Amino acid sequence: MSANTTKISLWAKYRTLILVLAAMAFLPPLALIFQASTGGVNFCGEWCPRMFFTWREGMTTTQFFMGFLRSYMGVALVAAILLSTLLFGRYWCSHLCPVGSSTELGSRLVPKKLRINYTGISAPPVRYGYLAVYLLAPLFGIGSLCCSYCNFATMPRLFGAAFLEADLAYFLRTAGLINLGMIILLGFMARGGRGYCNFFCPIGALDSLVNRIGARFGKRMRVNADKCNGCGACEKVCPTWAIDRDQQQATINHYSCFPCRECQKACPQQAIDYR
Amino acid sequence: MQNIKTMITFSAAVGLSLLGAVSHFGDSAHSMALLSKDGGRVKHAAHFETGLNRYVMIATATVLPPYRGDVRVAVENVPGMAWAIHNSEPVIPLGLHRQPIFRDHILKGVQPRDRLVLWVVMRPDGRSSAAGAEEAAAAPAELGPGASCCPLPESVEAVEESGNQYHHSGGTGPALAFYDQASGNQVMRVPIHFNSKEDRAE
Repeated sequence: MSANTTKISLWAKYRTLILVLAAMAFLPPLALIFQASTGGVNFCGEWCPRMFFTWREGMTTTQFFMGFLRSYMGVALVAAILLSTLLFGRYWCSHLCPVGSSTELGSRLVPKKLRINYTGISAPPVRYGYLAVYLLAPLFGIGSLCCSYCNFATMPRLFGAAFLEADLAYFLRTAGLINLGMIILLGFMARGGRGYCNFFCPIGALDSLVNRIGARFGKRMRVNADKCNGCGACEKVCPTWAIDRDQQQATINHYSCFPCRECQKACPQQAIDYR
Repeated sequence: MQNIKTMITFSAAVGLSLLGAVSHFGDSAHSMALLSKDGGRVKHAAHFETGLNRYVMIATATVLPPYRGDVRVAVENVPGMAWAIHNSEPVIPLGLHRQPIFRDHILKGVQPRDRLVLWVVMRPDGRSSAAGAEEAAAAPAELGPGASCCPLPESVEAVEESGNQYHHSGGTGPALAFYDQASGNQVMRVPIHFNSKEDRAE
């Protein structure tokens, strides 16, 4: 086993621990990342990763770029996510995102019988349909999906609501309850816990596009066609239902795949690796 | 066949997302404003729909230099409503950054460029959603960190009668008002509009 493989396998071996630590670093009660950087408590304001790249009707170029300045930490975060994805795959989504971490870890606590299986719905068309409206609706003044339906606003407040009435107030509104419902039904209750990520996260949508573009030269989860016998073990464990079987061979859809390595761990033929 | 299925899924997602984008919920509103020593400036006010049983206002504001001081916050001119104001703050403050603290209706230690985030919960039935108005009136300090709740001060005059002198600088409609604690001058006033569903649609 090469040194490189050993190093990378740590991401697989300790993934649950990393998910827990990432959630703890970003979410209440500590919200360490925010407190240590800007003094904030959540992804709103300087850390907002979702709003700065939307152009609203009537906006001037100056106003658009002022949004970058206002959310400078969010801009830096998204830039780092996309750059790292281009080269190494979607590690932010698979290991570090506190929203995805929480829903995936939470879904593991839900009895298997109660989990909802969304694999019958092809994720990329839903994701890019949502992204198209996310970008175009504010541009044409039709409306906005930015703040009203924000996973990055909902999850920190879900954790904070147990302690702070300000966070509890977030859910005392129709929009807050819709967000909560989406997080529960598409996240915690979903098989794999990544339904929300796969369908309705605009950062995930941008990230998956970059992931597909970088698949030509970057490191990704790949199937060794010589070893794969098409048993389907990988398909069953993929949280983003990114694996299909085509002519008794597993194929990975890089529009949806992130390097969680669940397929690698499940493969009896060791036919999947990260390279 | 696969392409048709993909197109149908994509169209359904666009339709559902459009429905979400055009939907406005009259029970919550976000206001943005600038707080300054000369009365502040409102970027956009809060707009609600009448006839609902709870309203949540997210009031964000940036403090313009050179203002600094303690700021008293109150909801004014909302007869028949109980209200509570909550500050967005860390659950476990690590003390790595200075932040204004909100206690007993007062934001303490406000400094230039601070970003204020207050959550205002209003209920027409005379009870606070976060805690009963009776409890709040009896012991506002016991509501927990970052919370403050008042029993219906319907106007600034009512606040003044309580012993403090605050200088109302115009505006008689419902508003979230901010006063400098030392001078009593108004440093920001965010109008709160209640419109019927028909008015909101226009």
